[in-house]
Amino acid sequence: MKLAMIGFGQAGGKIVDKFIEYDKRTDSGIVRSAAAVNTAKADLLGLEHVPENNRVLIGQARVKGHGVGADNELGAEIAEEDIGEIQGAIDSIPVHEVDAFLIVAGLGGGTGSGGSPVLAKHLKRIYTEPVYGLGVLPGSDEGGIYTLNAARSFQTFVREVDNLLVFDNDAWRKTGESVESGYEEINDEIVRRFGVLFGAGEVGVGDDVAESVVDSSEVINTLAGGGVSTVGYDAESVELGNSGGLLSRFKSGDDDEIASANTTNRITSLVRKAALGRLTLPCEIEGAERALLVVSGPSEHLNRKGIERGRKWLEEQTGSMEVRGGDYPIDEPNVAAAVLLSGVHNVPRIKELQQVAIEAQENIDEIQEESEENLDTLVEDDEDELDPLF
Amino acid sequence: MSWIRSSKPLLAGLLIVAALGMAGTVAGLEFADVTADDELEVGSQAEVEVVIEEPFDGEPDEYTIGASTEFVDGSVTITADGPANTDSASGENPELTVTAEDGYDEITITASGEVPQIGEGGPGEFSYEDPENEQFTALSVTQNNGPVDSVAVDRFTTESQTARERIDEAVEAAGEDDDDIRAAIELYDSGSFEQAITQAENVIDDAESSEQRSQLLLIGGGVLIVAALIGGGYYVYSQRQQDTHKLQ
Ligand SMILES: Nc1nc2c(ncn2[C@@H]2O[C@H](COP(=O)(O)OP(=O)(O)OP(=O)(O)O)[C@@H](O)[C@H]2O)c(=O)[nH]1
Ligand SMILES: [Mg+2]
Repeated sequence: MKLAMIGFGQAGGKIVDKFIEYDKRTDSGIVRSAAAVNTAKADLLGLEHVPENNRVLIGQARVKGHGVGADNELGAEIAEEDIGEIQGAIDSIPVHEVDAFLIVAGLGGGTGSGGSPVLAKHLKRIYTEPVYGLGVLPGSDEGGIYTLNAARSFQTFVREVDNLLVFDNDAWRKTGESVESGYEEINDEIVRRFGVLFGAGEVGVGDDVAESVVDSSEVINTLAGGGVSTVGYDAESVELGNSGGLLSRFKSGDDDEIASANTTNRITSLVRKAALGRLTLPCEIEGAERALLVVSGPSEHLNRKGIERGRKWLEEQTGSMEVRGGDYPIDEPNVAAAVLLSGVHNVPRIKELQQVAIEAQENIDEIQEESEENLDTLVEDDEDELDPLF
Repeated sequence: MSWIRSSKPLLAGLLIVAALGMAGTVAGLEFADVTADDELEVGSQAEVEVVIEEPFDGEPDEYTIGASTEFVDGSVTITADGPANTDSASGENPELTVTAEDGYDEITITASGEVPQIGEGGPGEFSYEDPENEQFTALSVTQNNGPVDSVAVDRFTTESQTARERIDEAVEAAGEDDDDIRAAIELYDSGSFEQAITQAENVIDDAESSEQRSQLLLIGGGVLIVAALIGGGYYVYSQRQQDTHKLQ
């Protein structure tokens, strides 16, 4: 499907930049247009692929291009004030050519965290195309303020978008790694997972046409109904056969059967591994309202039986009657299963996030009171003998 | 909790199950003797029998014994036996009222029929990790409608048995903490035995070939260097190739 992507804040901008890079490199055809919005000039300058005309610096009058310093209330205020400037960039998007909007943001910071729900609300008011969010949750080691920002933004963002796809940095954090190179890998993972999902149905040059293609309406229907979504993924390399070559002439029927059984096996096993392995937002898959299975790979390694079994299995595991599935043929020596679980409810991580956020909020209030008192005791002389100047 | 229990408790579990997983006794009556196979094949004909000795020892002077079974087209017979009298009842859910006056010293209950399917309309479900979920209740006995005890027996089909054996071997070969084994177990649990077998065999093959590989490497250090060179070359090659890849 073709998306108009808007990266809000630093994390959002970097991820959209990566999406464009992936899109060009793999000829996926998912980023129809892209924009980046930030209060920090340096962040916008750091981007490589977002067209310069679509980099929007907002809040200049208030923060002078230096970012909002993780104050997401300020981020939201600025977005509201400067929504016209953001719209200016969106005006250059041929909206009739896009299937949906995707707003990408780190929810722990200030600009993207506060601004993206504001932008979602604005876009929904103006356009009929669905507006999705891709929200990145902070790692649990990032501290109370990030957690508090994320919890508040999450709540609002879910309300304003047609569906919130979530990626939890915490689940993907690796120890002993520099933050930068850590984000590199994490962003690759984000882009690959969502790239395969959104790429399904966009047939590229030299790709086969799918037997039972997933097209954008299936992604949209799976996301319809709102709520929170998570994505599971697993891939495995395969050998590209030389069909029609010398070898295949000696292939007996038995071999074909074995090959087909192996194909089915590989697919069902990938589907299980995708759904039971690490999700972008870890949660219980049981109770997910809708799901979409995309199996991708060279068409000789895809078959209907495998996809159907995988789909049925997802139906059993989620208890959902709305599990869609299909293939996405790609000419490369890998087979992958991407599982989109939409409308998930049982997400311990969100509950934990909210709990920590509440504690952080209480702490912050307390510390503020204390510090006001402390300042008073410092400034006032003990016997209150001094008179202020005015 | 890890997704698979270590094979030792698993084995112990199997042994307990083999000892006919008797449910906790509620009433005073007890099975003095149980005759049943350790495990039964789905679809086969089978019979189980239990014996209750001294049926009035510490029991009321009169009570009703009931019995039921999960055998398909099952028939159950309750026979009370004593020096002077015998009495019996049979059917699908027979009941027999016995009184101390009749002087019975033994009650025998048998159930027979066809071993039911696992799931898909039959009782239980396939579970590699919890074989007790695959059991069925061959015989269940009540006293005045209160539960006395029951006989649960392990079940298998030829496919499930082969799959279980293959997975056992695969666990042995690759350890429990393996994604592919987990997939094999998932396949087993969902009743896809053919796939589970293939999956397990793949794991075994992989483990064997990696073992052979390490042996080969031990034999010739030169081979190692050449392999490393080729491998390195291939890595560079595949890295270059991978640039346009979407999936990994
Ligand atoms: N996955 C991912 N997360 C990131 C990346 N950079 C930052 N984050 C996360 O995003 C949160 C910070 O959001 P940013 O986007 O840096 O903040 P901002 O929107 O620019 O807001 P301010 O800097 O406060 O103006 C942190 O909690 C990080 O967890 C990235 O490259 N990838
Ligand atoms: Mg920033």
